[in-house]
Amino acid sequence: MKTFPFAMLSAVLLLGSLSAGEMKPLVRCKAELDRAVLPAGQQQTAVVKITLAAENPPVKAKRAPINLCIVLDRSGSMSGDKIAQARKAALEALSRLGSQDVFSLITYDSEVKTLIPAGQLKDLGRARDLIHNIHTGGDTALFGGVSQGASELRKYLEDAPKGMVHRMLLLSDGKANVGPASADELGRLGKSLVKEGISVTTIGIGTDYNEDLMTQLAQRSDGNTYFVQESQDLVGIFNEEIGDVLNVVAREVKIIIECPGQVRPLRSIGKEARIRGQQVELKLNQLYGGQERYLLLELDVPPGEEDSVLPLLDARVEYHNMLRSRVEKQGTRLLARFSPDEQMIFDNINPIVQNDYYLNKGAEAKDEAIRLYEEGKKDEAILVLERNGLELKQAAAAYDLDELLLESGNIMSQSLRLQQEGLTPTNRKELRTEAAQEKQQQKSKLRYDKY
Amino acid sequence: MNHFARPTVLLLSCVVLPALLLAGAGAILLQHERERWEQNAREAELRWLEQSRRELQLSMEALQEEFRAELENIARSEQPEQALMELQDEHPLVRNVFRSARDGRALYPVPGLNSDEETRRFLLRYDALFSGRLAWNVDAELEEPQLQQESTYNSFIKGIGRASKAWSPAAPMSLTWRAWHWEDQDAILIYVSEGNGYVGVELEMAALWSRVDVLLRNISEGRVPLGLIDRHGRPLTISMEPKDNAPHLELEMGDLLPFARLQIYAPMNPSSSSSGFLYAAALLFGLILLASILAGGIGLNAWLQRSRREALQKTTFVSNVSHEFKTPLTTLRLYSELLLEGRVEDPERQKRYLRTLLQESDRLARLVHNVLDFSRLEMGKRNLQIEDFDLCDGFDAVHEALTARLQGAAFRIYFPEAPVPVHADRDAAGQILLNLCDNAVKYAAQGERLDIQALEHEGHWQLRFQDYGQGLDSKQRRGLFQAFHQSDSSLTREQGGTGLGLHISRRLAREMGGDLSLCPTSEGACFLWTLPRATEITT
Repeated sequence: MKTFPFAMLSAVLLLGSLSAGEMKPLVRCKAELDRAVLPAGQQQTAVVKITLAAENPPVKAKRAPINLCIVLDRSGSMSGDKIAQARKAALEALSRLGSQDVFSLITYDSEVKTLIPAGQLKDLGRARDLIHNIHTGGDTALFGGVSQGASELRKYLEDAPKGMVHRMLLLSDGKANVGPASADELGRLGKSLVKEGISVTTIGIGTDYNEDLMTQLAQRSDGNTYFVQESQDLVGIFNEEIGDVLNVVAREVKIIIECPGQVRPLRSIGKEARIRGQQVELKLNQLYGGQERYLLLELDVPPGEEDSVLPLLDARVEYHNMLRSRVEKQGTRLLARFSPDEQMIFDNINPIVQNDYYLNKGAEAKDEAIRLYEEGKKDEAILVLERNGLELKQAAAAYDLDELLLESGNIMSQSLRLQQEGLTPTNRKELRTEAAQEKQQQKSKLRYDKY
Repeated sequence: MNHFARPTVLLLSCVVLPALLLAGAGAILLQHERERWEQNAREAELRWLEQSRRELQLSMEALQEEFRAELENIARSEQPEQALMELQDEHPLVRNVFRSARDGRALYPVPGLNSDEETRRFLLRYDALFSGRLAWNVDAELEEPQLQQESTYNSFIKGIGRASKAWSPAAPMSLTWRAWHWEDQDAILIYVSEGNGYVGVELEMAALWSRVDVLLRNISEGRVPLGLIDRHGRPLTISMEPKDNAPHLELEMGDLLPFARLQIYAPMNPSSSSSGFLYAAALLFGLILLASILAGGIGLNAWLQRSRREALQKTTFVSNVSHEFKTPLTTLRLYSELLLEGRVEDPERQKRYLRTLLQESDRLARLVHNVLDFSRLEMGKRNLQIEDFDLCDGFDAVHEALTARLQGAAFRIYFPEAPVPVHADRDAAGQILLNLCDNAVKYAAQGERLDIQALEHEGHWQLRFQDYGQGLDSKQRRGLFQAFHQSDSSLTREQGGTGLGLHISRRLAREMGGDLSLCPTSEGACFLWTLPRATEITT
């Protein structure tokens, strides 16, 4: 890969509080342009990627205590293997908690029941018995289940505001039919919960649940989302999820971006960031050890003179370091260089930013395809996926990106399935969940694809 | 009436009819009880509903106060926009924040400036206000609520964690709490008026309903389903699954949630509901019916047994009476014939024969007397002439009556020596006396004596008739005073009689205000006869 010396100009500039003698930061903040050199003399849109990379915690590091609430659907449709596997998965999750952790368990059908109220597990045997005795019942009061789960988690919110990881694990196989049930309402509830530090991970099982609702709730509360076709995969998913939760290294992560002068932030791609004039803000509830999360931002950049350097943004990140129990700050400045030389511009394309940019475009295409299909525009939906697949393929070839190539293949096969089978519940769930996982930059994307 | 019809009628009249009557009365009572119960339940539900609404309202008022304090602080701060952004970031019940000029124009977020989708939609949603088409001042600005110290405030907004720093001591600004309807969704805008305009927030309704959901579940305590519905009747939240979707009662939520109504439904598993009450009542009723049938059955059986026994006793009586009549008649006829034919020449033998004739005619007379007495008593035709007299006057008559029988026997009767002034029927008393003495002569002859003692006790005379015969075993004692009873009812019995003597004696004694009973004794048999003392004669 060819690089240009100018690329150095957009390198990481540490503005933070770290002095020379201190340990290296837990979370590194990096800002990159899709092209390190921009065409000179024209108004243009540039894509910026602000990356937060969390270090893996040292092996001996003491992990943060967790406040876990499992919210289990025990509606009639869960009967049989599903509830059996859900019980097994809950028991598995329970076995991985320690004496410092807080656990609660809510079940819901037509009614919401607090089976195990939030508390440190003193009587593990009794908790196991209670889980063993979960049986299926009636309807799906999902909203009530989530509300009650949040209420249990809240019992430990004030006592341990920073030192604890608060997580709700919601399992559902059906459509919410008691209380508020729209994806928008549940998404907004998720957004409200994350303000309190609660993330909701949603696990949809089977083909009857409302994936829009489940992905919205997870995405907007900064939790993970999973689609489980076969109930025996539940234990694996729970394990994966608990693994993530146990591995939280930073919480209350806030990225604040200020754009100077005539540079204007246009939109964030894949993430819901708040844009106010020249300022962009994104909040993440947590970062897992070894995880990289980023914000893709489209900027309106004014015409730049040849060889001139323009500051595009200053990024600040604040987070609570769970390993050292303190708030840490990082910062970086992104500069752009302009050139009329097309070759030079091409040579300075940043393949990693391109990769993520195209992956997010893929996610957007999936959501768009669902929307079009449901408006009765099947052909357009297929076309959107096909075009996107092709676009990703070309980009993958141009920048030599394996991940993108795989994803282009996935999107092409999704488009083919849409053509042959139509938007079956399974296809829809796959498209929606993949899109959400991509936007969320979910660390655990565990997919149990039978195709 | 034939033999079968009578028990049937009896069964109907003793068991079925009362049971039916009881059932009817029970059903009416139950109906009343049920109505009363339902009335109570309705009243209780209304109280519950009103109380629940009050709790919800208190929580909403607490929330209103919190926002008043927050917004006042923000309005007075140096950098209100920064403070608003912080509020939006941290407060789970805040969806959007804004600041506007006096004329309504939005100052923050700035319309037209780069912004996210949510902000654009927010500005659009309240365009009528921000463009000045609608007035910011609504007539009904909210009064400061009377906050109660012990409200559910804490449980409702627990975890928000901002309340502590949000209190301003300065004079309160006027707060507007405005319900908004947009694209078929309800929203609430809260703002205070500052010098140059307004500062406010839009509530996050999903988060609000989520907290109301938990609150309602706590209030209903898993007993009564409480639901909150919006203006279209769509459920916003419900505390537990109701039995059906028809609410029993509903109340408007009032100023702070003007588009919502609180409803109460029938619980799925009523723990103390009308049906439970009915089951209990039905069970009770069933038990009563069963008990009546059982009691009726037992009673009927006892009646049948008694009827059979009486029938048997009557048959025995008739044959006994025939026999008793026949024996003296035969003797009379035989002895009269012998005397008439002059076959007995020895004057001593003649005299003995004549005595026998006298004895047998006496016996016959007694028999007839007893039978007549019995039928009179049964028919209630015997009229007693109660008067004061000395019982001792009758002793001679008794002795006389028994002379024939006592003659030649070693048996002696010892009457009381002092006068026994009584208040009774002279004939009836004499008859009792005679029956008791006669019995002793008949059954306790081997004891050779009968002691009669008279004792005064609480205005009554107690006369003890103590003999020294074989006495009575428990079986003999049981039916002693019943009609047609004889201690030995076998055909081979030694002593004659109708089995009416003691029965008649007891009835007479009782009709005269006294009694006749057996009293415990160590030897022979002992009868105790009580009769009222004379009112005028004093001893």
